[in-house]
Amino acid sequence: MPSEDNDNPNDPEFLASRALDESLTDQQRQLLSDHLGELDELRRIDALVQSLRDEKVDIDWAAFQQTIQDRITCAYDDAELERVDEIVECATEVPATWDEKRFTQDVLQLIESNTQLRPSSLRWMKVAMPLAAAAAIALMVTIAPWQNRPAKPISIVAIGPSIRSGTVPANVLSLDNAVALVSFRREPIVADNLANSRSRVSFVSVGAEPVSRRLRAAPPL
Amino acid sequence: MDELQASERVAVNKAQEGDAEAFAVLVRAYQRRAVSVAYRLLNNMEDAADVAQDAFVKAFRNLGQLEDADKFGAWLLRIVGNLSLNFRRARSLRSAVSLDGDFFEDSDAPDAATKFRLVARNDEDAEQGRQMQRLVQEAIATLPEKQALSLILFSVEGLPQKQVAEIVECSVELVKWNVFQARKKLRTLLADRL
Repeated sequence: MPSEDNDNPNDPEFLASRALDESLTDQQRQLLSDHLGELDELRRIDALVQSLRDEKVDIDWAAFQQTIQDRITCAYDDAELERVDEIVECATEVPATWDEKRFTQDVLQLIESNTQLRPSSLRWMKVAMPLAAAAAIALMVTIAPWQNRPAKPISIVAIGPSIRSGTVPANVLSLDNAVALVSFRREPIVADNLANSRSRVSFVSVGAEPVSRRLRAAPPL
Repeated sequence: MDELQASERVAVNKAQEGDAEAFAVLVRAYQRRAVSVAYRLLNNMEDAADVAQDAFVKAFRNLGQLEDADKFGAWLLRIVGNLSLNFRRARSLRSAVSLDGDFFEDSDAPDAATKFRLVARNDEDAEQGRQMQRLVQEAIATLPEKQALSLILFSVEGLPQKQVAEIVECSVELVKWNVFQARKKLRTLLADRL
């Protein structure tokens, strides 16, 4: 911050005043000359900076406004976005003991025992393991829509390819190229639990971008 | 001026109740200045438009926090400034970890965005003038944050120092000091062009 020192003999205003009196020493005359040169340069700098005002910013304002309107009237409200943020936050808290491979195997075994799949079908299932796991959980969501959703999700239990179909349950927020299976239960999900309980699960999009940002841009399902 | 302020106050109040159409009035009123300030800080029109849009959306979502409707402009420009500076920091970080980015293209060049364009108002010495303006613009973009923001708001946007102080959230004296420091740095940066 500048300090106000009125007793400074080299103060430019004081030197200018002394110049009017014609009482400057050679050294002071040189100082004043330097100051005036500095002032002149600063004036030129300021003129250059101010010339930027003439550079008129011109973009597609209609598109600009429309994007803002779309974003502020987006179907996803704050509460929903906050919920997604919570889910994403939870993704960083996946228990270290979580065995995703085993979970997928358990689900497949469960499906196999229930439907007695033929070997060829089983091979297909192995190719599309993540999709099958996601579809199985989605099915459970659709058959238990009357249950209330617990307040807070606790962990992401599986990640797989998205299912773009008309049977996507209502609580699927957005699917791009991947989905995360989220558990709203307090205890870890295992195959037996899936078979015997009506656990609440949901899907959210995942990806490199912040999820909330992507959700705002994505069309509602 | 008072009539304008009154209509703006009405728009702010309606927007605070969630009226998106009323907010559109505010967008139209401030969009040029918002994009301009972001552009001066970021030196990239596409980034500036994105940041300005983010600022408007953020403003809409947080309008409830704005106590004085007459201060909407200053409040919005504060958001624009903060988001622009955040963006600038993130970009610096990205370019610091990128090993080859600068060798192949200058993504920060104003012409990088094909869908946006800058229009020079007068055609006299247009090319030379544009070159000089670009140099000044690039030099401003290298200034320390507060100095750049103060200079842009005061010298380029022509806002009164009091309003600049409100936006930057500092004293008027500090605004003067920042502008002075910015000018001095520009003088050094552009020494061979003066």
